[in-house]
Amino acid sequence: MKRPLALACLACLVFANDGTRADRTTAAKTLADYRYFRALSIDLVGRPPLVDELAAYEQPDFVLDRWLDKQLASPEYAERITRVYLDLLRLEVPQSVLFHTASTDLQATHVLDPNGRDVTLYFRQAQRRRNAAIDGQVCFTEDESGLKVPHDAAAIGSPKPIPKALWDARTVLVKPWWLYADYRAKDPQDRASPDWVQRFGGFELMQELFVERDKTPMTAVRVCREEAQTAEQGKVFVTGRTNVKGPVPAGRLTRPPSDSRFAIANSGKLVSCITDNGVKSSAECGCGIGLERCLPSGPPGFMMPTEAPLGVREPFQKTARPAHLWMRTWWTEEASHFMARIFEDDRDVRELLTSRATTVNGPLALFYRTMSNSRCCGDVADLFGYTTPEPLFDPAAVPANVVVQDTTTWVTIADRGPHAAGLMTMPIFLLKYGTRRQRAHAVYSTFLCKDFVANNVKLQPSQEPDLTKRPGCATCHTRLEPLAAYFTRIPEGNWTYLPPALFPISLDRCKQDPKNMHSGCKIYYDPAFTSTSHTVLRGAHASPHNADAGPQGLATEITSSPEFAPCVVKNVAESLLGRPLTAEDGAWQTAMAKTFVDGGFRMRALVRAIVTAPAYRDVNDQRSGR
Amino acid sequence: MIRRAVLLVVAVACGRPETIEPSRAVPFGGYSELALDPTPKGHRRMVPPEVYLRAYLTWFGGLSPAQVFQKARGRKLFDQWADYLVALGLPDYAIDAPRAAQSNTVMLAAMGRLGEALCVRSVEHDLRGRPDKRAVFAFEPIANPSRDEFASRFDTLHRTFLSYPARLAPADRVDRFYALYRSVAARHASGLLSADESGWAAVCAALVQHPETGLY
Amino acid sequence: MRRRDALKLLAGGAAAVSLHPLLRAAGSQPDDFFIFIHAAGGWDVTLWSDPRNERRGITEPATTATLETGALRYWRNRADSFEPLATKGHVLGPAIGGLYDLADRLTIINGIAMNTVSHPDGIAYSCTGRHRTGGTLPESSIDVLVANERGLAQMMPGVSVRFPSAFVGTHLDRRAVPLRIADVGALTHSFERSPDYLDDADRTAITAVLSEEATALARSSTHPATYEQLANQQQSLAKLLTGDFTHAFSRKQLESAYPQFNYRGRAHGKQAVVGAFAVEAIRRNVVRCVSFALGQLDTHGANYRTHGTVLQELFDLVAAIVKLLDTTPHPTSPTARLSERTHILVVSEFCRTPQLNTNGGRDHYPNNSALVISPRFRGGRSFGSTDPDQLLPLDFGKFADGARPLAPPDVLATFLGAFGINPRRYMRDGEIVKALLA
Repeated sequence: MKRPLALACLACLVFANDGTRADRTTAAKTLADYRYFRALSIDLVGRPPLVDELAAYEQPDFVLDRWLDKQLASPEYAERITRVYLDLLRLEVPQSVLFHTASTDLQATHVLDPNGRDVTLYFRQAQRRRNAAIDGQVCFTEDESGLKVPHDAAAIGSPKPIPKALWDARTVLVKPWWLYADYRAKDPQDRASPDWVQRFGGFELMQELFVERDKTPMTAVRVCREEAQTAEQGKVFVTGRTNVKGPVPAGRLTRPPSDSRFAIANSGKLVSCITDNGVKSSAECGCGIGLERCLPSGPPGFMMPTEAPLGVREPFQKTARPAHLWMRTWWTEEASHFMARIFEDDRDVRELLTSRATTVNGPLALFYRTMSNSRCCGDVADLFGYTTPEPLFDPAAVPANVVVQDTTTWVTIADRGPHAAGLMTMPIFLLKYGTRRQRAHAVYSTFLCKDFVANNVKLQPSQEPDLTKRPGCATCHTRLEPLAAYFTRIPEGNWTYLPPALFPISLDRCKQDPKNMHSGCKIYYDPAFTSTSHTVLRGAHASPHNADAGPQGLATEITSSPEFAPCVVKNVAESLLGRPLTAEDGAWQTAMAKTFVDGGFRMRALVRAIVTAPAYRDVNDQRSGR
Repeated sequence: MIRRAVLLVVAVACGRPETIEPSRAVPFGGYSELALDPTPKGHRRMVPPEVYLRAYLTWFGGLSPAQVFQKARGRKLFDQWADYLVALGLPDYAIDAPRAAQSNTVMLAAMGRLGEALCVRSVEHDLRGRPDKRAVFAFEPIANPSRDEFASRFDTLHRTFLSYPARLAPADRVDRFYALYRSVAARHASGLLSADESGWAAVCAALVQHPETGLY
Repeated sequence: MRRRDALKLLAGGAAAVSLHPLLRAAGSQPDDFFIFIHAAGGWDVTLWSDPRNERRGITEPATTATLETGALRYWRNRADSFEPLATKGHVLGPAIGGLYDLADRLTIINGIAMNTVSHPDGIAYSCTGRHRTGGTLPESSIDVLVANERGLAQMMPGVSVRFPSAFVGTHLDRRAVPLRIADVGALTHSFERSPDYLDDADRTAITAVLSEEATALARSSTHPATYEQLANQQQSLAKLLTGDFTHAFSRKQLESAYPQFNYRGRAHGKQAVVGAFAVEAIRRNVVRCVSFALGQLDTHGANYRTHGTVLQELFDLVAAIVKLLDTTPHPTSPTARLSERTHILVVSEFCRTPQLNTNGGRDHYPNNSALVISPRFRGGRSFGSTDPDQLLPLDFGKFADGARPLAPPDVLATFLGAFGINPRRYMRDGEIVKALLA
C-alpha cells in the first residue's frame, strides 16, 4: 500500500466520522455543527438561533469567523460576560437595607388646609427652622394643626384647619422633579403622564397615587417653606440651645435640636446644603430646585422593575415602591452598565477595578449631583475640620443636561474624580460589602479566585488586638488585614471619603489613654492601637501604606498579581464550559491566560479563544463508537 | 518420533529447495472498524434561565414580558411572571441565592406551564392568522397529515426549539411525535382548539420541554 | 485512589464497624421527617443560646440602648442589661421566644468553632460540614444527604425554600436534588394547568414522549445521569399534576388551615407560610425533608436594634411548627404524633461579635450555636461552651484528632448518625458525638 494512501486511511480511522464530528469543509452540516452553532448562539447572542439564522448558517458562504467577530462586538455578548461577574459579586441588596438619610428623606403627612381640606404636606424631619417651636420637625405645632407627626409614621391627634396666615407663611407649592421633567424651568409645564414611559423609557409613576384627596391629579406639592429653599449654601445659625435636657416641650414629640459643636464654631459661616452638616446646622438649606435633593417617602408610587432578569428595559414585573428603593435600583444598574461597557468596547478588563469612568442615566445623575454626599461628613467629622465633602464621585463631573427622568439614556463620564476605582467605589459595592474586610474579601475572591479559609485552627482567647498576630486568626488575617486597609478611608457602611489631610494615619490629638479616649477620636481612630504616644486610623494598622493608597492601590495590587489573568480565564471559561476547570485543563488555562495577557487584557480575544477551542467547540456527550 | 523429525530435517536440509508459488491475497474476515473519537466528552449544560426567557419571548413573536402576560393569560393559562422566574433557576443577588445548577421537578413544571401557554396561543395566532405573521408554526397547516406531511412540518418546529433539522435526530423521534400528534388529535374532535390544532399544540409543548431544548 | 482517601475510608469503615451497634440501634424507621432551617445572616447567640448580660472582657451585652426590647417577651431588665432565663438544663437569652415553653425538648449546641467569618463559607460549613474550596462546594448539604438516604420514595424527597441546599458529585441519587423555590406560591402556580385546551390525558402522553426521549438520549450518552434525572423528574411531575396539589398548597389555603403562624410578622411574616407548608406536606406524606431560610440577621449597623425581635419571630415560628406537629397524627402510624418522628435542625453561618462596633451593630464572629429538636437527641440540655471573656469556643472533648471544640461537621455527622446513617458515606469530616444523642 502506498504511503500517502496509508496515511489517509490512518487519518480516516483516527477521525472517523460517525455523524458527530464537524465536517467544516462542505456545506452539509453535521449534528455537531448545529450543536456548536446553537451553543455559540446561546452564549453570544443570548438565545438559541432563529430558523432564519439556521438557514443562513447552512449556506455554503457562511463564514463562522465573520459571524463570531460580529457577535463579539454585540451588547448581548457583553451582557453574557457581565453575567459572569454579576454572579460572582451579586451586586444587589435586600429591601431591608435602606438608603435613608435625614437630609434626603422628604416625609409626607396629611394636614387640613385653611379650608378644611385634607392636604398632603411634605417636610424633612431634620429640617432646621428659626422658630424654636417647629425647629427639627414639621412646620406646624400641635396647637396649630392639631397633630404631632412622628418620624416615618402617621400623624397623631385630631387635625384642625390651619389658619390662613400661618399656612401662607409656613408652606409653599413646589413643582417637584418627580412630577415635572422641566422642574428647573421658571414655570414647569411638562408634568408626568403615561407617555413618559415611552419618552423617558421606564420612568413611570403610579398616577393614581399622585392625586389630591379629591382624586384630582397632583400638579404641585405643598411643602414646608424651609424645605423649598434652593440655595447651594446656607448660613450656619445658633440658637443658644446646648445639651438641652428635661421633658420634651408640650406639643412636640422630640426636643428641638441643640447647637452642635460645628454650629457654635462656625456660626454665621456658609455651609454646603448638599451635606448632612449643612442640613443640620442651617435654616437656609432646603431641598433645592424642584426638591431635587430629596426623595419623597410617599406616596410609594415609583414603578420599579422588581423582576428584570433580562435587564430593566424588559421588566417581567414592576412594583410601586417608595423613591429611595427606586433610586437604589439604578445603583445596581450602574455597576452592570459599567461592566458591560468594558466588555462591549473591548476595553482592558483591569478597568473593572482601576477605571475612574462610569456611565450614568437620569436618576443616577440626580443622585450623584445632589444626594450622594448627603452622608457627609459623618459623626463628629467637624471635630476634624471635615465639613466639605471630598467625594468618591465628584458631582461636578455629572453633565448638567441629563434629564432626570430618562432611565434609558446612559452617558459615559470619563472621570468620576481622583478617588474613584472601578466597581470598588460605587455605592452598590460599598453597601453590599459594608465592612472593610468584606470589601477586600469580595475583590480577592472574585479577581484572584482565592479565599480565606482556616482549616481546623483552634482559636484561643487572646488579648492581642492585632489579628495578624493573634494565634489562629493570623492564618487568614495576615493576608486579609493589609487588603482591608485599602478601604480605611471609606468608613464602613458608607461612601464618605476621609481625606488624609484631615484624617492622617496618626493624629496627635487622638493619642490618648485608650480607656478615656475622646468619643470623637474613638470613631475614627482605633482604641485597640492607641496609647498616649501612638494612634492609628481604624483599619490602617496592618498597612498604613495601603490605607493611603486607597482602593486604587488595591486595584493595582490585584491587577498586577500573577493570579489575576488565570482567575479571569477560570471564571469566564468555567461559565462558558459549564464545568469547573480541573488539573487536566492546566496547560490550556495557561495558554488562555497568555492569550488574554498578550491581547492586552481584553476579553474579546479570550472569549474567542475559548469558544473556538476543542474544549468548547467539540465537546459532546455522545458515547464513543455509536 | 524424534528420529523421524531428525530424518525430516535432514531431508529438508539436504533436499532440493522447492519454490513457493505466489497466491492471491485474500482479505481478512471477521474484523470490525473501531472508530476512535478523540472529542472531549462532557455533561450537557443547562440553558441559562435568562436565555430560556429570551427565547421564550422570541417564540412569542418578539413580545415584551408585559405583552406576553396580556396575550397568554385567560382561561387559566398563565399567572404572574414572578411565579415562574425563580422556579426556572434564576439567582437572587439580593439574598445571595445562586442560580440553579440542576433541574428539578418545579423547574420542569414551570417550563411546562410556560410551554403550554406559548403553544396554545401560538396555535391560535399562527394557524388561524396571517401566514406572514407566523412565529412558531411557520408552515401551512393541513388537516389529518400523513406521516411525511407531518415530518416536514415537524422539522420546522424541531429547528425552532432544538436548533437542528429533524433528519439528524434519532431515527424514531419523528414517529414518536407523530404518534403523539395523532393520539392528541383523536381526543379533541371538538373544543376550543380543533383536532389538528390540539395535536400541534401538544407537539409544540413537548418540544418546548424537550431535554435538548433545556440543555446545550 | 489516593492513600489518604483510602486510609480515611478504612477509618470510616472501622468507625462504622465499631459504632455498628449504635447505628443499628439508632436506625430510623422509614417514616421520619426532617425540617432544616437556616437562620440567614449570622445570629447573635448572646441573645438566646449563650446569653451574656454583663460587661466582661470584650463582651458588651445588649441593653435597651442598643436593642429594641419592648416586644421581647422575655426581656427582664437587670442593671443595664437583661436577666437570663434559667431552666433545668439551659440558660437562655431574652430572644428565645416561643421555644422557652419547649425548653425541655431543645438540644442546644454552643461553642461550635467556625474558622470562618465569610457568609458564603460559613453557610457552606454549617450546612455541609466542609469549607468552600476555590469558590465551590465539595460536599452536599445535610438536607440532600437525608433526602438521598431516606426520601427517594417520596413524591418530593426534598423541598428547599431559599435554603442553601447543595447537590454535589455523582454518587447521590438524582432524585435527591431538592425542589428549589423562592416561596410556596411559586410551587403551586407552576403546577397549575388550564383545563380548556390540553387535558390530563394529553399531558400524560407528552410526559411519556419526553420520558422516552430522555431515556433514549441517556442510552447514547457518555454521561447518562442528566437525562435519567430528567426522565425521573418528568414522571414525578406527572404524578404531581394529577393530584390536588395546587389547591392544598396554595398560600391562601395554607394560611387558612394553619392560623397558628404569624403571617403579619414584621421580619418573617411573608415567609411564615413555609412553616404551614412544611406541616401540611409532612402530614400528607408527600415530602421527606423541608428546608427553608429566614433572614434579616446580618445586623452590622443600627439595624442591630431589631435583632432580638427578628430572632424571637424565628423561634416563635419554630415553636409553632413543633406545637402543630404535637397535635397532628402521623400519616403512616395512626397512633403516633408527627412530633415523635419529625426532627428539626436550625443552623446559622456564624454568630455575632460580643462587642459592638462603631455603628452600634455587631459584626461576624467565628463561634456558633445550633439547635436540634428531635426525640433522638437529648432534649433539655445545652452542650458545648465558650470562654466567658471573648465568646470563643472551648474544647468539648477528645476527638480522633485530639481535644478540640465542636465543629459543624460533628453536628451534621451526629445528626446523620442519630438516624442510622453512616456519616462517613457522605462526609469527609466530623464525628458522631454520642453525648448529644438520647
